[in-house]
Amino acid sequence: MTSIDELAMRSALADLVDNQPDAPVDRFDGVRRRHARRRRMQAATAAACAALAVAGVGIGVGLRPGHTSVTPAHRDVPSWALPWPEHRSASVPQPVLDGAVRAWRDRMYGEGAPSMYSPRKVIWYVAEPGVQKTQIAVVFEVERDDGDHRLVAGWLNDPANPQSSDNWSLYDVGAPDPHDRNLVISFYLEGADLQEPDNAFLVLTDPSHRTVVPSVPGQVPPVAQLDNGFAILPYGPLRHQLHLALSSGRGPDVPVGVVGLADAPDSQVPALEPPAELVGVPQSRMLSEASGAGDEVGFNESPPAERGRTVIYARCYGGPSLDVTVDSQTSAAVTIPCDDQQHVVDGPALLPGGDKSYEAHSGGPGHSTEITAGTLVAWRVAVVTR
Amino acid sequence: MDRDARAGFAEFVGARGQALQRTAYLLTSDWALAEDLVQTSLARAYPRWQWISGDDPEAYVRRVLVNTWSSWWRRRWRGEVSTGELPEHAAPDAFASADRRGALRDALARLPKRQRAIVVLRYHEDMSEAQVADLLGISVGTVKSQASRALAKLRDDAALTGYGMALPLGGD
Repeated sequence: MTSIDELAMRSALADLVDNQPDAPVDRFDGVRRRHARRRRMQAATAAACAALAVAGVGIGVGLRPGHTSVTPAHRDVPSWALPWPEHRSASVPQPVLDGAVRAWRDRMYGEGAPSMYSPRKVIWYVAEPGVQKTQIAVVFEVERDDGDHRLVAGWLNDPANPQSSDNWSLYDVGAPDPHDRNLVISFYLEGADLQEPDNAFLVLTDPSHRTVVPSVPGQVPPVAQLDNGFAILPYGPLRHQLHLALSSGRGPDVPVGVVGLADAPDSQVPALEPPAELVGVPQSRMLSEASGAGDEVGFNESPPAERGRTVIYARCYGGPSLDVTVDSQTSAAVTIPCDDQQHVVDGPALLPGGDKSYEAHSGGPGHSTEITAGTLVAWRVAVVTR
Repeated sequence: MDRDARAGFAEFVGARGQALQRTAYLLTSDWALAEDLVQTSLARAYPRWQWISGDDPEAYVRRVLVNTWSSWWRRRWRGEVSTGELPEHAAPDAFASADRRGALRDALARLPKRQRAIVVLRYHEDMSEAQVADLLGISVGTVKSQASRALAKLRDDAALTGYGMALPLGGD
């Protein structure tokens, strides 16, 4: 590449930011408000997830077999544990493992939980860093002090800070049958990957299985090699759940269901490819705009002076329909058919002064938009004023 | 966070906020969204300030900013919280420069996210290939190849034809 291109690029980018507006006078206050709101939301999330699984965000991970130490297959473990080898990178220090166990207990049962939830014994299966060095995947089993056995799987979003439970996204399910030869532990490593929209998933199974076949309807399935029954596999954009089959090279493939943990539905949901862009949305009258999947609430802290009726632009796929509710007016919710076509429909009038029910969480007045959809429904929605 | 750390953080926001907003704008093409991104990133850095302030806090915040932006395709509500007024400055050559900037903005938006991040970090932030690779968690070779592809795309982009005349993109 010629240097003149690079010089031109530098000049062009400088030109592009030449009309930067003045700094907002309350930027620091805005940051502090967001921090406070983030803490409240994290606390709410932790409380809501105390019963079962926790879904979170992280970054895609790739298999790095060269860095992994693998214990011998069918190692000596208690009868309730899986006799599979341990895949642990030498680069993952002990504090990360300790942090995972502590985060599991704190996030699943709350800090200061009764001692019955304390781990009596921990069997490790996976502790592997991600390709982008910003994530560590873990899988382990725990015997609690009350004798219950749990399988814990998930990832650390910030390897530099494993002590903070907030940095962990963990699923907690009952320990599986250790004698099931076709048992597969898998889950998506959801995250802020720069390759959009991307999926990566972890597979852990009996080391006798050499390959795994992930597939979606209408596509020729690739075959992925396992390293002693383990792999972290990038997959790319998805519009459906991913099905897995085991292949040993002898006999037909054995279907084992969708990627994800059987008792943790959130772990079975991939990052869905967003529907196509909405067209013709009047930007000057935009109230809120987003793409996503499943239920979501957006709160727009625009001046509450916004008023009048709304128009909703939406496109979705993956389910029969979704509902859009503006300012918590559930009786005036708008239903959009999920046929992957753009729909433009009249929405309700905004509430004067904004949606008070969200104000307490957001730190200021504004208008809310709530999407109610199945977890496998991907959508784009824009709400504009008329 | 103690009083000194809080003061240090406030000082950092005041000193570097505008620079971060410029980077955010080149990633988002929207000044309000850029401010949203900056505040979100700073809010994430805030609770860790005591640990990161002694090292290179701007590098940390920039990393958070890029990672946050890269995750916005799925979960972002436009105009969620933008504090303060963001007045646009009227440029003397308003029409010509608006067309030129619009074309470049559109062309940047057509780049894959990773290429766009590399372009912004490499040619706006003036980071080395190694620094970009470290921030994005990719190899230096990938940075080189992706930067090269991005520049080629921008050079060949029809929307940049007018702009290319003003700035010799692709000229040898």
